[in-house]
Amino acid sequence: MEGGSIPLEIGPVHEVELQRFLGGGGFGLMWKVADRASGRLYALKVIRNVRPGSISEARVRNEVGVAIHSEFVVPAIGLQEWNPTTFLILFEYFDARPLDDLLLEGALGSADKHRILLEVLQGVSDAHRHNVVHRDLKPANVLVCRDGRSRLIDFGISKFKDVNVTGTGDLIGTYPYMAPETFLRGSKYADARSDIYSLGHFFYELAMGQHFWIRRGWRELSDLVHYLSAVPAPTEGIDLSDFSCDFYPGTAAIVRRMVKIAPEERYESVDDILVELGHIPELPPALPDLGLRSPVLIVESGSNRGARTVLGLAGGGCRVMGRFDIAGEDNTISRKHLEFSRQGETYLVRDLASRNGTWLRGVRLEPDGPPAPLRHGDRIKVGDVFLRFAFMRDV
Amino acid sequence: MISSSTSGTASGSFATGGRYVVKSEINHRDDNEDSFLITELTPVLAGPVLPVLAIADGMGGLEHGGDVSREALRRTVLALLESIQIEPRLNRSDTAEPMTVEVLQKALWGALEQANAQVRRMVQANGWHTAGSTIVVALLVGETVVAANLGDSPLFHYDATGQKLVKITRDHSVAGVLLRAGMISPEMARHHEGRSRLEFFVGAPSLPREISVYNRPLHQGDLLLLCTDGVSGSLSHERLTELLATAGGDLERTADALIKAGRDLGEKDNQTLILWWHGSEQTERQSADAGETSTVAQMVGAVEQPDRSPTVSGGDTGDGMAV
Repeated sequence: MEGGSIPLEIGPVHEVELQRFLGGGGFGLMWKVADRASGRLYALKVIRNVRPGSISEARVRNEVGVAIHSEFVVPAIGLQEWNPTTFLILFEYFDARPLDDLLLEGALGSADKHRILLEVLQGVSDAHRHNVVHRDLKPANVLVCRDGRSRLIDFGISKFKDVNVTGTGDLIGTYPYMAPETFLRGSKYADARSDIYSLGHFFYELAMGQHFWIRRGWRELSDLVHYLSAVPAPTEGIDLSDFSCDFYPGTAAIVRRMVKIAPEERYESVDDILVELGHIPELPPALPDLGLRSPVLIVESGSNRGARTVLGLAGGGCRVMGRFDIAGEDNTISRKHLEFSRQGETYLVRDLASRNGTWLRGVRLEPDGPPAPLRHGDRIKVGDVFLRFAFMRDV
Repeated sequence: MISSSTSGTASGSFATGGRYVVKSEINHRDDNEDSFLITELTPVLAGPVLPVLAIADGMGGLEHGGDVSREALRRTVLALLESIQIEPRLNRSDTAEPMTVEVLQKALWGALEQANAQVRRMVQANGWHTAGSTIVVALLVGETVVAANLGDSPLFHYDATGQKLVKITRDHSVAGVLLRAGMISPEMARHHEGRSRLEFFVGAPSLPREISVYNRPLHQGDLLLLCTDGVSGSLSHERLTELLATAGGDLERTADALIKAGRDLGEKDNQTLILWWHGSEQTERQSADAGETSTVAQMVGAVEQPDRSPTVSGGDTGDGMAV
């Protein structure tokens, strides 16, 4: 099949040449392809035997539906339904190797690991800022590219529209990296803190050369259950008594807080971890006339996509919004869903005990809880609909 | 017979005693990815037959579930045939010794290992990426059942004398692990999100460290129920016990009641079961002559007289239903 061409209708690409088979993963065959017209390289994922209406189909559509603007995430360009059971997804191409292969070979030095950890944390932070929880973070889902950058892949089971992807209530993820609350309570309880637990195992594996389970000789879930059932019960998913990290010395306390059994004891955001590691994440640029003009809410998905609402609030003012203000027909949004307020130059949002919750930077806001401050560019998820909070000149 | 036809019912009996009914229903799914197999082996030349009952459930949401469940059964029984019937007789003129339970357990687990390897090869060769199947197999050896499983298709034993139901197999699901550890209750396990998420199955990258092989003594009149989770997943242990103990009538009616009970609770998945009554014609006649009115005696009393050739009745049985 190498050397052959296939017609495509994805974005600007109309025909690609199949250059090299890159491998078959758990969820499709990956090809390196070249656009016949421009010669530009892409990665093409071919997913066959997808049953219409199945979870697999939801995963395929989800992988393309999740648009995360991040230099640390491999972007999907588009999807083509080849026939009712075969789908093609076109990705940006990066000359890269999966991190699990590199770890197995022991091919990475301290500087590489330092860089990879930071970039993965930044990629996950970017995803959370878009209210996307990856849910399957592990070395196999990190590409280490020849341009020196690490990029996350496989957002097919991410929590974007969880109702579709876990339609039959399937627990999803990879056991050794999966947060205990996901095991015990279910995937719908997975939020940014569940990804942080997975990242804790990821951090440990980079530092120690092996996953904690492998070092312990664990092979089965019952090994973890046995560990968790010890008296007194452990408070972390990893025994860090012999932890050492040459690329980030003295970070056992950080990993410990990442892998806390109780999610409320973990870091609340990946940005907090980056700060503790001494890295200040870039904040979205604020416009110089902040405060002179009102911010807007932009509806970014659903039937009302593109609609804009000016949040004209005076200092101390507030505004309740719900289904009819955001997307009239969408029943995933409650009639009175969330409340915006302004204190000085700071805008805040809080959830009004809505049925499907309000999410900000990957964390579900406490129902009827205290207001959370908003930043320029923040994405807010209400029900199944995404909103963007932004200060704009042109409103 | 191996079958994964859309829906059907069959029943029959074995000369060594015991009779069965098998049902497989597509229910609300587009395809029936369950398969079942009922056959017999003869470990000793011209000796008593060893009935083999097996069910496999192609994993939901994955591709080629039906293909994989059929292959899992086919490969398992071929491996059993080789280890139980062919190997002991190869280049031997004398009569092979009867098989012990220990030897059968080893043969059964070996067969599941071979089926697992074969399915992994099959999935890889066909580029199916992710596919798998549960399996539960029961061998009837005199007054003992030897069983093995991978996944969450269970084998239950109803003790007619004590009127108790015991689940012989352990589920290899996340919910099953948590339940055994006492971290969730049986009620929580029935509704747990991980109740269908399997850690081990036919086609899995690895098999459990502790082999999942069991044996249990049977008494005349006892029942065995092998089924997919579409039958038992929604039903509490108490409800299953009640259905097996009090459904009355015949095996087929009991099987129907089991299928219906799950559906009444909203079960949408494929439903397949094999219900085995352990006993002989003599037991039945004695029970009938003695005028026994026990539940199990009532249940089997309405069954047709055993016929060496199993019968097929009802439903769209397809060509796979021929025994």
